[in-house]
This record gives sequence, structure tokens and C-alpha cells, in this order.
Amino acid sequence: MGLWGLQHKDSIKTMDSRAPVPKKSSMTDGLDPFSGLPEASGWRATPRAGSLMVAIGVVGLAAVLAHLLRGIVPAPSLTLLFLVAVLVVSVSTGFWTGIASSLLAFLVYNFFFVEPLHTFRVAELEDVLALAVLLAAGATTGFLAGRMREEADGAKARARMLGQLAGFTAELAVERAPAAIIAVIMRHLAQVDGGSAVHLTVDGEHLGIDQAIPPDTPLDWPELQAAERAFRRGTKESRTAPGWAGSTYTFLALDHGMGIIGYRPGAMSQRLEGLAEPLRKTILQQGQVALERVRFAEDVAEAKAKAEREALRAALLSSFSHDLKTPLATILGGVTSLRQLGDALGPEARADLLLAIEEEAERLSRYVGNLLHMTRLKAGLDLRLDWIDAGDVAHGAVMRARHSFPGHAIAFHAPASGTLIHADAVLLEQALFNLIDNALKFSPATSETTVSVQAEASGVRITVSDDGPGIPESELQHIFEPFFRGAQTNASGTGLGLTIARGILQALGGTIEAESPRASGSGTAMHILLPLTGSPAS
Amino acid sequence: MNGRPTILVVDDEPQIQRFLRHSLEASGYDILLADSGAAALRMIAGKMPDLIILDLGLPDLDGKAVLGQLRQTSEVPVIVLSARDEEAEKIASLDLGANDFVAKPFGIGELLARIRACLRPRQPGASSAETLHLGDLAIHLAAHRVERTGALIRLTPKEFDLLVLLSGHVGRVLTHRQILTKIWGPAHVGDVAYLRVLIGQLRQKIEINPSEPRLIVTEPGVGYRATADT
Repeated sequence: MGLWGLQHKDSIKTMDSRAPVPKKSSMTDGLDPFSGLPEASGWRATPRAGSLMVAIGVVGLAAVLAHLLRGIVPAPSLTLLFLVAVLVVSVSTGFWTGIASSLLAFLVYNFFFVEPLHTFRVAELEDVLALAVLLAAGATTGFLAGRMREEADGAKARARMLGQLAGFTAELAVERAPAAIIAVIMRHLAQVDGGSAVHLTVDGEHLGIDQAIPPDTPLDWPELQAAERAFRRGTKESRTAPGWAGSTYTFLALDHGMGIIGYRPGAMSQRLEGLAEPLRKTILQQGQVALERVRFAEDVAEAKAKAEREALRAALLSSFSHDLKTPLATILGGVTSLRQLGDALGPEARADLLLAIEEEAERLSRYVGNLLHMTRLKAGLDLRLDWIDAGDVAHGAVMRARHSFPGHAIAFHAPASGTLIHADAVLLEQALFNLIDNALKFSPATSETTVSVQAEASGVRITVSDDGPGIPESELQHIFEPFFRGAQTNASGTGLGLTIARGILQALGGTIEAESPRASGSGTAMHILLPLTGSPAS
Repeated sequence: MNGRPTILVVDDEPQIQRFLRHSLEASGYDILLADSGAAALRMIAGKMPDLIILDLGLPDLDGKAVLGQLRQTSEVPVIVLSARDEEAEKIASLDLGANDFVAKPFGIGELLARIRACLRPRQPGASSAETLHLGDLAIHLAAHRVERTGALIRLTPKEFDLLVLLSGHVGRVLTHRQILTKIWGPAHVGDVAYLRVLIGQLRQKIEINPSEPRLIVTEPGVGYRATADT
């Protein structure tokens, strides 16, 4: 600040020493320390008609006042009035109008107040001095005022730019999606000086406008060529200077195939020439950083999700490995025992080993069946819809369960008719079997499991109900999730049975709800509702 | 250990217990069953089994925890049984003091062979015996000589040490760590490459067909096992 101030004064001194009218080149030299400031649009600009009117008006007013005061104050003091007028004009309008007003003031003063009156003749040295003083005052004040106004304008512009930059950064910080960030970048690029901005994406070999500000901004051939060059080289392709053939846009390729951003300065660029370009540069840099940040965040999120998937996969694999290997261990161990130990085993032991092998082979078959069903469900079921008797299908599932669990009692109730629905018999049977299997697995052999089928107006209701220990409230909402197993169960299983059952029922357009404990106060009931004509749920 | 040795089977899978009981009883062992780590520890203290077959995945305690606890008081041979076929689990169990492992699923022959190897009375002290045998190899300890049917096989001191170590534990797995510690010292437990090279050299000299070793077999990722015969 001090340095600035000093240099400023220096430049003024230069001005003073070269008064009254410094040559333009020396002015520019004097301005060197200000090269960081906007190129002076104020003091170099030609005076406008408005400011000339002000000059004429103020000087005229001074003349009228001087005329009124003539004789009351000594004549030379009247120059002070004109000096004040020149100062006022200079301060309010700038350098050139200041000069013009001082010339005007001198002429008026000379014409009306200096002997010989009503001529422009300059008789005395004193009058030359007056002219010099007026010119110097006008020039210096005008120049100073101009500079100050420019600086004020510059400061205002910079404040506006900083404000925009702050707003831009704030908006960037909120955005998470690359497209939104690109939109913010574009909006602010255009906002700098009311220009336009486009975002192009590359689809194979074709450049297409993704978004544009203002909307529907057309791009001409030179622009598209420049954009393509920027894309191919991955660099910035600057616009050509005004008046030359070529692109009016500057294009910049964004990293990681996020497209190309282009911008064209707008109408307000004249006034902000010096600031607009650095601001746009900053906006683009910050924008690129934000895009990079989002990309990193996405990468991190993706890596995390991947790690979680991997962990889940590992857990599943280990669970499957255990579930498949345990029956296999019994089967392999039993078979090898029978083969190798042969007669050493008593007849009872041999029979028990064979039974164990059979049971475990069936268990294995159920696991594998469940896994295959799961895969089918995941891949999207190929439903074979037909008119089927839901009661009949339920009976099939009960029979299968009775065979698999010979020790358990399964009661079955169904009406003789009226349970026709449009569904896939094989899948429905599997879903019901899974539910019965689940009920039996978690109930003591002595308790009774009931499967009942009822015809309803809109379809068929099937209830699988057991008198087992029930499901803890905390677990009830999770029982249909894949691989969920109750905390207090020792029963083996893949944790897929209920998931598959629900998957199938939903595919058939039906619903399933678990009720535990039942209205009677104990056990669990699974309520299934199947529509008359299953519109396969997607 | 008069008469039938007693084997404690620690496994929470009823079906595994079921077939092990039949086959082990038929093979001349008395069987104790435990389905949890706590029950197993109680039985070990109370009934003093001669060998323990321990499943690593128990409902209450991790099998390795059971192993760690029982090794504080007992030297009873332990064969680890698990569906977990990760080498890390096997190695950890062996380093915790398990004598061997069998990965599920397994044939009964494999398990019985491991049981026999573990119950075999210790080779009458590698120190006191004059000669060890591995297959058709005779290893004369004092003379540092190895012969196959009278023909001398020249071994370097390290190769000889390795052969003696493995022959002293016929039928039982030794982990890389265990072998490296014995042959090279505790500072070299990580240098598995040394061991691979030395095993390769030893096989070149003692195996009939070094590319299909029969005397020293590899337990992938875990260690090596000297096999008695067959």
C-alpha cells in the first residue's frame, strides 16, 4: 500500500513538472506503476456530450457569479471562481473535460472580464499566468479525479469479481455431481461479463452441445473446429483476436473425458478487460479442481463399496463353503468308513451311517437347489404362467415336506374347489416348501405345523403356521433378507429359503407377511396372498 | 493307555459326530463327544482323553481358543478339523500347538492315518535311537550317514538335519515356521525360500522320482510332512 501510494505521488509529481498538458506518451510512462490497474477507460475516453454540457453549465454559472460580483471583489479574485468551476468540472467528469473546461473558463474569463473586454487578446503576463493556472488546475484535478474514479471503478469491479468468485466457490463446494459442477462453471463464466458459455460433450467422433448459456446458443463452424482441436490436443484453444477470422470462443478440454468448455466474452468485457480474463481463468481452475475432487470422492466411494461387496462376498463364500462342506464331510466320511472299515462296523452302525449319508445328501441337494433358485431369481424369473389349483400345489409342497421331515406332523386344510389362480406351479410349490421347511426347522418335532388354503374374492390366501418359539421382534423385519439367520438358532441353512420364497411370491404378483407371535400368542404364521391373475411384478 | 485309546471329538455338527462315532469305534477307539468349547475343556480335565479331534468353528469358543487353553496344561495330541480350508487357520492352529489338521471334507482313511501318527509312541527319542527309518531310507544319527538299501546317500549337514527332523515326526505335518526355527534358528522364521530350496535339494537326493515326491510331501501353504510308507 505504501509503495503504491509513493509511486502514485511520484507520478503526480511527474505530471506537475510537465504541466500543463503532459504528452500522452509521458502520461503512459507515468502510469507504468499502475499497469496492474484496468487500462484507463476513464481518462482516455473522449469526453461525452453530457460531461461537456456540465462543463459549459458550470463555467457559465461561474461567469454569471463573476459578473454579479464584478466591482465588489477585485478582478483577479474572480479567477478563483473560475478555478473552482474548473475543479468542480474536473472532479465530476475527468481529465479531458477538465482540460476543456479550463480552456473554456480561460476564454470566458478573458472575453468578459479582462481588458480589453470582449476580445480574446491577451495583453498582460498576468493573464497568461491565469490561463496557465486554470489549465494546470483543470488537468491535474481532472487527471487525479479520473484516476480515482478509475481506481474506484477498478476496486468496485474487483470487489464484484471477488464476490462472484466467492459465490462460485461456495456453489462449487455444495455440488457433488460433475454435471452440476459444469453447470456452475458455465453460469459463472458467462456471468463475468455477460458473455456466453457452452459445454460440449464428445460422443464417439461427434461433438454435441450439452448445455449452453444463453440457451440454444449456436456454434459456427470455426468454433466447432476450435473445440475439436481443444479436445484432440487436450489443451486450451484461445479465441482469435476480434476482427480476425476464427473462433470467437475460447475452448478448454476438461480432464477425464468430461467434455469441453467454451466461453466468449460478453458486452461488459470492455470495462473489465483486465479483470475478466484472470477471473475466467480462476473459475476454470477452481472448476477443474472441483471436478477432480468429485472424481476422487466417487473413486473413494466406489472403492469403499467395492471393498464392502468383497467383504460380503468373502463372508458368503465362507458361509457357503461351510454349509456345503459339512454335509459333504458326513457323506464322504460315511462312505469311506463303510468302504474301508467294512465288517468292523456293526449292522446298526452301518444302517445309521447310510441314513446319515442319505440325509446329508438331501440337505446338500436343498442347498444347491436354493442356490440355483436364487440365481434364477437374480437373473429374472422365466415364469410359466398357467391356470393352477393353488390348493393342489400347496398339497404337493406339504407332501414333499412330510417326506423330508418324517418326524414332524403337518396339517393341511384346503377347500375342495375355488382356488384356481393364474401362476407358475413349480415356483409356487418351491416357495411354499421353503416356508414349510423353515417352519419345521425351527419347531420341535412334537409341535404341529399347519398349512391352510382359503379362496378369497381377489385371489387365494395361504397360511403356513407353526407352534415354534416364534421370531424375536428385532429379527422379524430381517427374516426375508438374504443370508439372514436368527441369532439363537442352531439350525443349519443358507439363510436363503425365505428370501427365495418372497422373491417367487413377489414375482407371481403376491405378497407375504410374517406374524410372530400369532394371534394365539405363540408360534409364527406366514400369510401369503396370491392374486387371481398374477401380473408379474417387475 | 491300556487297551482302547480314548478320542474326544469336539464338533457342533451332529451329523459329523454321528459318523465319527461309528467309524472311530469300529476302528478300535473309545469315543467322547463334546459340542462346545466349554464342554470340551471340562471333558479334557475330567476324562483325560488320549487324543482330541477339534473342530475350529464352535458355537461358543473359537477352536483356536480351546487349543490355546488346553495347551497351557496338557500335551494331549490334537488334530484340528475344519471346513475352513484357509492356510492361515491351519498354520495358526499348528503354531498354537495342534499336532496336525484334516480339512473337511475328508475320507476316513486320512483321518485314521493322522490319528495313528499322533498316537504312535514317540520315536524312541531321536536322541537315544541310533537309526531312524523313512521309507527305505536308514538314517544313522551318530554317523551322520543316510543309506538306501546299503547305498550311501551324501547329504549336506543342513539336508541331513532337515531329513532327521521330518523323519522324527513321520506322518505329521511340520509348518514352515517350525522347520525354519529348528534348522536355521528363530531369526529365520520368515525365510520360506531357504526351506523350499533345501527341500528341493533333499528330494533330488532321497526321492526315487524327485518330481513326484513320496517321502516328503508338501502341505500347500502350510509345511511339509514325512510319510511313513504306502
